[in-house]
Amino acid sequence: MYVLLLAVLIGPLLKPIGIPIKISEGTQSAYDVIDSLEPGSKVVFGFDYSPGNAAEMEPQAIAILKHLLLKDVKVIGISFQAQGPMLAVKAFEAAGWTEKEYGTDYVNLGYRAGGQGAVAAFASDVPGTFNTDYQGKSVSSFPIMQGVKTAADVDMIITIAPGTPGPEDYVRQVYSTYKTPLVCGVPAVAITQVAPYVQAQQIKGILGGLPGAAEYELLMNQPGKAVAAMDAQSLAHLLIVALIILRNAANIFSKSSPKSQTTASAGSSAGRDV
Amino acid sequence: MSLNFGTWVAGLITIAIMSLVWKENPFYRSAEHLYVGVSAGHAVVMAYNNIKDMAFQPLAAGQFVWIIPIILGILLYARYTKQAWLARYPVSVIVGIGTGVAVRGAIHGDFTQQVAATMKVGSANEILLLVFVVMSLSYFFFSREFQGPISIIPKAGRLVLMVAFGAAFGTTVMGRMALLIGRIQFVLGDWLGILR
Amino acid sequence: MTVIALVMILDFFIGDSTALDWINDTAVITRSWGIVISAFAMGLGAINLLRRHSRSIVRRDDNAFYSFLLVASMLVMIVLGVASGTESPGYDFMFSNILSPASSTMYASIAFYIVTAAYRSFSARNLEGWLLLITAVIVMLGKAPIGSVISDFFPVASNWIESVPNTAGMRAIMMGAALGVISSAVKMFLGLDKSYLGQR
Repeated sequence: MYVLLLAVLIGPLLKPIGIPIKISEGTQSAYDVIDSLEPGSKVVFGFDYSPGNAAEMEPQAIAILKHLLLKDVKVIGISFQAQGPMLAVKAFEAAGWTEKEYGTDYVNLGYRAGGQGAVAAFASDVPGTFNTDYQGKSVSSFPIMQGVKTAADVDMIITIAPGTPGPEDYVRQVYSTYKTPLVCGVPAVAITQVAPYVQAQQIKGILGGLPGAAEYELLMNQPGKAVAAMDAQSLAHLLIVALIILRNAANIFSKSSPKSQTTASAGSSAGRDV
Repeated sequence: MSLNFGTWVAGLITIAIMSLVWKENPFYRSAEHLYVGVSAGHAVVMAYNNIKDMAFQPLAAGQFVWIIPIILGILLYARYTKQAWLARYPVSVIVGIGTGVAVRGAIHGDFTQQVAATMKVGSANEILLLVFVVMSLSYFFFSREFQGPISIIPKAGRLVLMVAFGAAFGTTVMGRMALLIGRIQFVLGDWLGILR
Repeated sequence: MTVIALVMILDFFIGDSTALDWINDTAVITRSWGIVISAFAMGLGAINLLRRHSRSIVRRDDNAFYSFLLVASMLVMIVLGVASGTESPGYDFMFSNILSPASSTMYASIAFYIVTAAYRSFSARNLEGWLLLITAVIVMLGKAPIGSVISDFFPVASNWIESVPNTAGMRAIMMGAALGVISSAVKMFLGLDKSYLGQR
């Protein structure tokens, strides 16, 4: 089974098939919202992912950062995840931001502990919460931070946030009070969880997992690692679907009841009697 | 194939951790303990930088009020002494902040704005959304049992929840596969140089 | 705890009233203090690890070697980070070549277990089970590029599932959880729940 999975994943990486990728609504909305930014706008970029989910999140971050570079906006990098600042350095470099002037065009303000409380603190007092940058230099010396007091003083907040704090915390602590437009990159696991916020327009656009990153790369006309991975992703999904169908076909056609554990029947007899 | 020492270390650690899928072995355990140690060390360094930048620097600049959170933070470590009860004070502060911001965020972001979005009924999908939300909410209503013809509402709500969980399961599979693809891209591309 | 929480809540509802500015100022400074205290709390995990694994090293039990690896790597990381900073080559080496790949691979390994589970366990026995699995299959095919190659039905159905029934179900859970947060908070304010203090 493991060998089959590896074969299905490695094959398309070695020999790409070229399955066409369609742009989803969420990614298109995110692209359009970011594309509407004027040159010189200030954007807060939350590097709230860790190396554990960097495979999905880093391509999203790099694709969006490249777009922001093209739009000539200013980026204030923050993080509420301990490993975020180190990943921010990598992402800024990969997206070409090191050609710009640090402190004027972009800045990496580092990490602040405290989860949702830290997000709330940031929203109400940006220079007080991030009083130094990632290297310990005072933010008052950076031109990019002039005039930024609360979350209302930036034009957009983009967060690549898989966990805690995640998009929900930004919605609760930032959008609810300051109504700053929010765009989020989430792992595939979280797409369904943030769907209510997207429908309620609390989040203006969303990149979902690696396919979201691939779609954004295509919209930018700069295909990268995410696009290269899509063939493998497609075949992996086909494999899982085939295994599920095989399993259930075996159930239907077998005469004795299967001994293996079921996915949804566990809750049917417990709890509420419906 | 990469000649960079760091890439080789990363590659060997990747293989060591992946070897758990075959069976537990000393290479996996060594890599696991290295990871936990480095991760814990990194967390301490980040915490140190936070305290240095947010508390010690302003304190050194004359803002003496920052002595209060420093003392409260140190009190957290009283749990390792006989005066462990002192650790309750900083815990109360953190829980107070967390509870306060969570409540205000929950009321506005997760409740009133969600209700408002549900009540915006225009298209057929929005009407369906309203109906499905009511059905799903009724499933969690435990104060009184639904009897008679209306008992179908929570039953339908359960089906809506099953669809939601099915979607969550589908996207979970998607996410996990993406993470494995990322690792394979590193091993075959950055490390062994097979992928272009 | 109650006072601090009430200040946080009141701060949200106070507009531009200058008479009540002190609530805003108190809330802002208290949240900053919370960040510092949370940073101190991060050290507790490291201390617990040190205590547990130091005992293992001193006793020279079966796990002594692994405990030594853990403690040594933690101390090296702390010394490098505090003395030379996180931008130093040594620190960057350990972060990029030990922490990052190890963390990524831990999460990536789960994919193998999903494959075996798909073949051995993901079987449906009743209506709810079938609904869950069929939805999962549609979403899996709809979200990947292969779905639109097989049929336009998959991406369209997947989008509809995500934006209507999934949103409805998740919204109901979210609203219920929000009410739960509020009721738990009220219990804590009234002193009915002291579990956060380690009391029953």
